[in-house]
Amino acid sequence: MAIDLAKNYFELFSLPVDFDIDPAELGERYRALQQDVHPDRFAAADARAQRISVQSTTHLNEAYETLKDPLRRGFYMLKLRGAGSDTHEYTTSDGAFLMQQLEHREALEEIPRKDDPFEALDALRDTIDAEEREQMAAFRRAWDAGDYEAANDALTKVMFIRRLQRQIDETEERLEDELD
Amino acid sequence: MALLQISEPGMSTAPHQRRLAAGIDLGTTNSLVASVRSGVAETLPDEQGRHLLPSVVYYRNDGPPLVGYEALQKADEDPHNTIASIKRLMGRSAADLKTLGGQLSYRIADTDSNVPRIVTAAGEKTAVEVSADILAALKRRAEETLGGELEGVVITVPAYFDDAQRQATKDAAKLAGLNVLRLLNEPTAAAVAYGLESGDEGVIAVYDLGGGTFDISILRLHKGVFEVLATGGDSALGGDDLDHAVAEWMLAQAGIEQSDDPQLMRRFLTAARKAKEALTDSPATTIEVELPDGGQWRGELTRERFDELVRPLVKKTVGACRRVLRDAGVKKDEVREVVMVGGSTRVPLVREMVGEFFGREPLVSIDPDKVVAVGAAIQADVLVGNKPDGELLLLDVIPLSLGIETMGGLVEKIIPRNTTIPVARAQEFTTYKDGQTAMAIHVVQGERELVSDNRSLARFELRGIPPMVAGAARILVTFQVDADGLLNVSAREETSGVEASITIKPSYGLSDEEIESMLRESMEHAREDMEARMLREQQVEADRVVEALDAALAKDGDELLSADEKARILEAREKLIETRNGSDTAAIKDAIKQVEKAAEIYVERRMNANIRQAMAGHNVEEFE
Repeated sequence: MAIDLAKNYFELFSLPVDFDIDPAELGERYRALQQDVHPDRFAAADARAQRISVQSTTHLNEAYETLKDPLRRGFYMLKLRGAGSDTHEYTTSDGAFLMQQLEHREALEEIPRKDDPFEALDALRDTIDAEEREQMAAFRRAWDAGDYEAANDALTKVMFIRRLQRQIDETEERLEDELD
Repeated sequence: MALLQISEPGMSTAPHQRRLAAGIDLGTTNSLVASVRSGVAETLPDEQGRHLLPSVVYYRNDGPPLVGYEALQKADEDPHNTIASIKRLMGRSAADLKTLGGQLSYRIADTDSNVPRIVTAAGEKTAVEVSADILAALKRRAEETLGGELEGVVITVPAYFDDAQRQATKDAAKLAGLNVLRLLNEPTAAAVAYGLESGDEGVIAVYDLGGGTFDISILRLHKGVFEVLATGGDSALGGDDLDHAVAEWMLAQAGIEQSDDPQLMRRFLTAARKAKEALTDSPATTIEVELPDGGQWRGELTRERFDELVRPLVKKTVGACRRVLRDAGVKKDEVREVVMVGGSTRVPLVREMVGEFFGREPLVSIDPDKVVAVGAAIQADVLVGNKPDGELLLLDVIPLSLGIETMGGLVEKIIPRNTTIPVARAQEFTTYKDGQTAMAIHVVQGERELVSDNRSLARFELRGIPPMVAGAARILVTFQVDADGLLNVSAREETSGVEASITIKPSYGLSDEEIESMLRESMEHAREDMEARMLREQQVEADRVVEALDAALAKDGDELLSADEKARILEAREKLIETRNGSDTAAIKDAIKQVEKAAEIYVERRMNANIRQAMAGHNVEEFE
């Protein structure tokens, strides 16, 4: 049993090329396909069958990781349309957005000195999560309107937001370590 | 429900003959072998009914090596030829061993080889060979008990084992004449042992507190598929640390200041361990230790006091649980089961605090020493083909990020940790200098930003790149990790098709301690790393500027510049080199700007000269 490597990731899971995906459904189909192709199913098979299995599973894992994450899913959708940037130099020219990010970053630096830093972290996290949802909605609108440049810009902004989320997590871990 | 099959002893049950398979827990202190018999997975005892096999090998010049309890008895009498804790040396280089130094009771041969060899009465032995002797003893036990040759085995490894350590484990199995169906992460094996029997679905946490290490893994079980979501832990923490905490308290009670006497310390530690074990079932225990002056110290340790002593250590493990949940993107209340592994989970406070954190009673019904081997046996039974319709499938992740070194000693991560395997990822790189015909690929593993803070796995070179201007070559570097977590890296220059590849197989690897401290440092040093990265980037930029300037000056500097102009540029260049060797990022940036400013007029003249040259002999029309 092998996977058709020519299919795009959406086709692989029998899903329409759409930003809205039911994660439970995606996970279900991923695991069902894994049952068929995973190398553990071919541990006692010949070398050729094992090679095909590894190849198929590798492709399947990449497909799943791509569609599972809204950000990667979005970039992949743009790629399917031949749009979006293929390089790793993501930038946005939205000055207001960049300024806001800078302010969040400064706020984050202040948090460890607050009386209840964990509460402040949660509040900041909520704000930033809301901004991520906003940008995802912006992506969806731009996508529907066929404005791939705006769609790409929204995703790029999500990358900035993700980086900030990671920094919030790191700050929280540091604070927890100090408590332990 | 299948019909019961009844057969005479020694008679074949063909055509539905079962294939013989076993699961092996190759541990630091003890090893076990288990197999599925009559539908039940159980560990196999030796003739004397002992399930554990001490992971100890005794080498002699007049016979085959002794393994297990027999070898253990030789430890005091002949320590140089009695090899214990060999797992710590698996996949380690000679250089790595220096850090272990005094902890080793045996001698390491001085050779040029990167693979450390232990000097024994039976000749020099590598860690792979010693492990192979342990595996061969387990193989013998299994084949005698099961009455036939093993077709395949599943061997468990710590979730944190890197490529070199996994490869070394596979090599040892091969040497022992075993066919390895799969290497399996220990926590996954433990979850399998429970998962199948109870048929639960949902998120599972595996809490493994062994003698010297702590692992925590989050898995998702869904319709027979185990998916490892994240693994973490603290490999410098284990039952031994609990003993130490108790021993220190005892020393204080006995009025002994920090003792340098290793024998006395060992006596206190042994007594501490006994007390710890006694307190599993009783509220208090009496401790007696002989003192060097011939006297005796006697004291009582209550469960309450013991809990107080070890609470900070257990709390640390709970902190690691919190972190790994976050890595997995799972909330505490989503965890449906908590599996307990390792002898130290018998400590009531451990069970209590872990239960409290996850808000549920941890699973303890399978012996925490045997649970890993039992899970491995179940998986081996599936893989060897005894359950063609079985739904059990294990999806594993890589424990540490894999990447390559880029300019300035920085790491470019290619596969982030906790990515499901098998996986293949490719990334494009390019040349840094004009006419560069070779590229060194340095493969590293770890979470830090700088190469020097991570683990070096391998180096190789891609040669034969056709000379091009800097940045024009397109070098695709591909990382492939197979289902056992073993890595293969290849590099290919896309415009010419030249390629080179390597299978990561150096015989050394990271210790658990190193991985743990690397992970922890990466958290602590995130900011430092960022600053270091910015500095390195500016330094690389400075080098690039100097190099380009030198190349240009050599070509047409004297032709296009007056002596004065040239001197000004050289002055700025000197200043840049000076600042570049310092650690002030902003100053380097500024010095680069100064060079650029000083060279402005030169750049302009060069451009004009180039255009003149390019246009010479051509019609203007050609440029339209």
